[in-house]
Amino acid sequence: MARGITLSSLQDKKLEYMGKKAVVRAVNEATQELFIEREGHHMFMRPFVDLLEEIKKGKITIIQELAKAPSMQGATSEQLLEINRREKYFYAMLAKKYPTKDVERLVEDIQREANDTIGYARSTLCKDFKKFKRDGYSAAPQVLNNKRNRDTGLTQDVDDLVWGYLYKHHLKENGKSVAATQRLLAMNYEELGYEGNAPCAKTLMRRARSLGPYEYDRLRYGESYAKNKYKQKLEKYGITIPLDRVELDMAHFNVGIVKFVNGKKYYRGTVSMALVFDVGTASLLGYAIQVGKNKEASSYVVASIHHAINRKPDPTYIQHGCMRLAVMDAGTAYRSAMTKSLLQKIQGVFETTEVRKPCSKGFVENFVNRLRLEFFQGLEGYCGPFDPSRYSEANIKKDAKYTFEQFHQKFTNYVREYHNSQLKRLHGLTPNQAWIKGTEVYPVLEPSDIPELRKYKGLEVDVTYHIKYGTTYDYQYFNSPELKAMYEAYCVATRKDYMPLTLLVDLNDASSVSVVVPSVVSPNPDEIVLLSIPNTNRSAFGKSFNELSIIEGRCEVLDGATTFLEDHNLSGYRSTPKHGDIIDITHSQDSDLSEDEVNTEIDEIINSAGVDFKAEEQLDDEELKSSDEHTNEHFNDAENKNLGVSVDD
Amino acid sequence: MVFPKQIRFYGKKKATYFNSIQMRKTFRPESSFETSFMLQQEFDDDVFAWAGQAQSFVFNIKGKNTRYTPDVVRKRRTPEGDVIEFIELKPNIFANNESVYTKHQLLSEQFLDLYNRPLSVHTEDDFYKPIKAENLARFYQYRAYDFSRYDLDLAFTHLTDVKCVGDLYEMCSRFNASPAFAPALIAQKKVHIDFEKPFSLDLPLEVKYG
Repeated sequence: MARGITLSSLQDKKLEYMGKKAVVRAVNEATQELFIEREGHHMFMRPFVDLLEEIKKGKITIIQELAKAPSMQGATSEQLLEINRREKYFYAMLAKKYPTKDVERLVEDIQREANDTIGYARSTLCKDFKKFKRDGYSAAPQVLNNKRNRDTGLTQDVDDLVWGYLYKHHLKENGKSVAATQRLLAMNYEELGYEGNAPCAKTLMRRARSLGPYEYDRLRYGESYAKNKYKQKLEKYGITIPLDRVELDMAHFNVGIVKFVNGKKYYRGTVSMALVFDVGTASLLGYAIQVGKNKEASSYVVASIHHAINRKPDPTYIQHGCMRLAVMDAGTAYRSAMTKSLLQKIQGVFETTEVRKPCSKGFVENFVNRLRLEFFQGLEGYCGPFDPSRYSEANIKKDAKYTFEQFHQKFTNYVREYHNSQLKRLHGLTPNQAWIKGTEVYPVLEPSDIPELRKYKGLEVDVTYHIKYGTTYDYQYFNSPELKAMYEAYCVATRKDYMPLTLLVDLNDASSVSVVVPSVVSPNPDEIVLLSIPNTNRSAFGKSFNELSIIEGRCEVLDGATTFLEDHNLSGYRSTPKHGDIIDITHSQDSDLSEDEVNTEIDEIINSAGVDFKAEEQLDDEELKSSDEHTNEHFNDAENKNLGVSVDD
Repeated sequence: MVFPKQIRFYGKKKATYFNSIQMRKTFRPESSFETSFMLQQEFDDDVFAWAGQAQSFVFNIKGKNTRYTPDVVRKRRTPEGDVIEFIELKPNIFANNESVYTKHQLLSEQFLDLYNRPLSVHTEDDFYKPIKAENLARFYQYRAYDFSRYDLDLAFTHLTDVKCVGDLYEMCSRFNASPAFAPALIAQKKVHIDFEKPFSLDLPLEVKYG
């Protein structure tokens, strides 16, 4: 009972002295005596040794003060969860006649019921239960007041000695380590007239750290170092020049997406987004949404960059253009050759940040947080940041409400609203206003301005070349003489009778796709060489794949979703001049081509023109057949891929 | 150690890539200092070939094998003829250090032995001007702009009275060209501005074409 009691620790302690209340008013270290005031008696003096003896015999009890009920205001969500978790065990124990009996089984039962992965050790639970009863049947004090409140155990002079050594040897620029300081102290401890062991290195370290991180670093490494390390951000980032710095990131959101087939609801997966954020104007330059896969895929990153640099079909979404500096993390999708190759063609500078340093691209991280708070928190079916103790995949499936189209439409509306809302960082301007202001001085460079970029498309698709029809994507056929020549060269080089191809598809432009030239036939195998292949359907020019689907009756128009909007503003040219009429500065018909060049070009045009009726007939037949096959394939695919997990089941 | 405010070292854990429009290659500069120098090479009409961190050389100095990679190797036109230069970029804070200076002298001797050309050290005094660096960084991308679609002779007949950047922007807004047409004229030096002055719409410019 009297173990660990020191003279100084008894100062101001309340006692129960021979059945009456008493208080220790003063202690005398020199004479090892205490001055006690007992209820109804005068103050008297007791030697410390006698008092210890009486405590041992139980004549005197030190009254433990009840822990003050802490304010729950300011408690973190983790602390609140921990309080609830502990109370589940305590209330279960209270319900028993002998609470501490057979505690192990109780712990197992509660763990199973509450899906608690942490659990409780027997002795710790009994100890905490005792505290719970002491603190007025509340687990809050033991979680929130979890600070030890005991004396140092060192006398004042030893304490001063420790501080003296710390300041002399450790807390100075180029000072010794704590261990070295402690060794010096230990060497001189006896010489200085102290008995016993010198305070250990941990004690010294605790004292040094009690100064606080700023003061500690100031003393050890100098004022400028500490100021630099702990500097406060007192200035706002005030640039409004668009595309000066663009940050890229991938974010995963725990919201389930469903699909309705024949009136039945099927779960498709959670949502991931590849975001491209412009720092100067706080605008979301572009994004790509991925459903069902939480892994980063380069095709989605390329799609997001592609979405960012190109004009959007929605005329109110004005943000687009090639960025001067792209900052991204070192994720596999961002390190891939495809992503780097695209960024290379954009002709800016790009950098990959240090691993596990999200602050290197803090603006996009902040925007992800904003998305969570402003968009996802209010969305039905959103389960919050991933926390295995609170929910699992089954919860997300149960809560899933929206189809992809509904979700996309909601997100599009949010982005439009965000771009039109005033931001403090932009001094009251909206991202749209800041964008317009910035582009007046530094107009955007569009992909159509860079010849190499015109070939780049967003989505990466693996297909096989067909000798007659070339290649297909979403019911459209793409073919050209170059592709056929490439096929022949590929077959000779590899001795195969088929050619696998990687296509880059821009969903907003069905007029052509880009084909990645296989390395075996590439003129430059170290680089990604692209070939632009036109759509064999001439009416596809200027239309998106979705529009063609609508025209050909394969899907219905959805309200307001970006990709389905009219794209009469898609032209890469400025439609209205600021003053006066448009001046045509494009080349006139009689260009600088030589006579020979003109002749060759015309010959080519004449040779390739005209309709081959036989081929067209065969093509039509095959098209009908393959269209049926495609339809069947689509249904089979849908059944195989999407109908695997049924929510109703 | 205090570095000049503008110089930022990227470190080994972070990778920065600089795409050269002129050389059609990507280089990896090690600091913002090097990036700035690379930008200057792109805008310098006399430099017709250059490479950053192109090749490592192993020299035997005082019996020890020493590996060294020059920051930039470039070929430049001068009135005396074409010149090849090996360049090391060092902030003044290092370049003025005695041990660094000695090291560069030794390396320079090795390059003289090998190629009959010295290693020249460039500091911020030689080329680094913050406003110019900022302007070049902002205009660099416009150098990739494709003018082949337009009849520039015809366009310049409308630009004779242009006196400042604002006039140029206003005139170009009347062309049926993309919005980047005007800054691309500046970046590709079809019209001339002083890159060492802060860029604004009032900045005077000179039209010299053809």
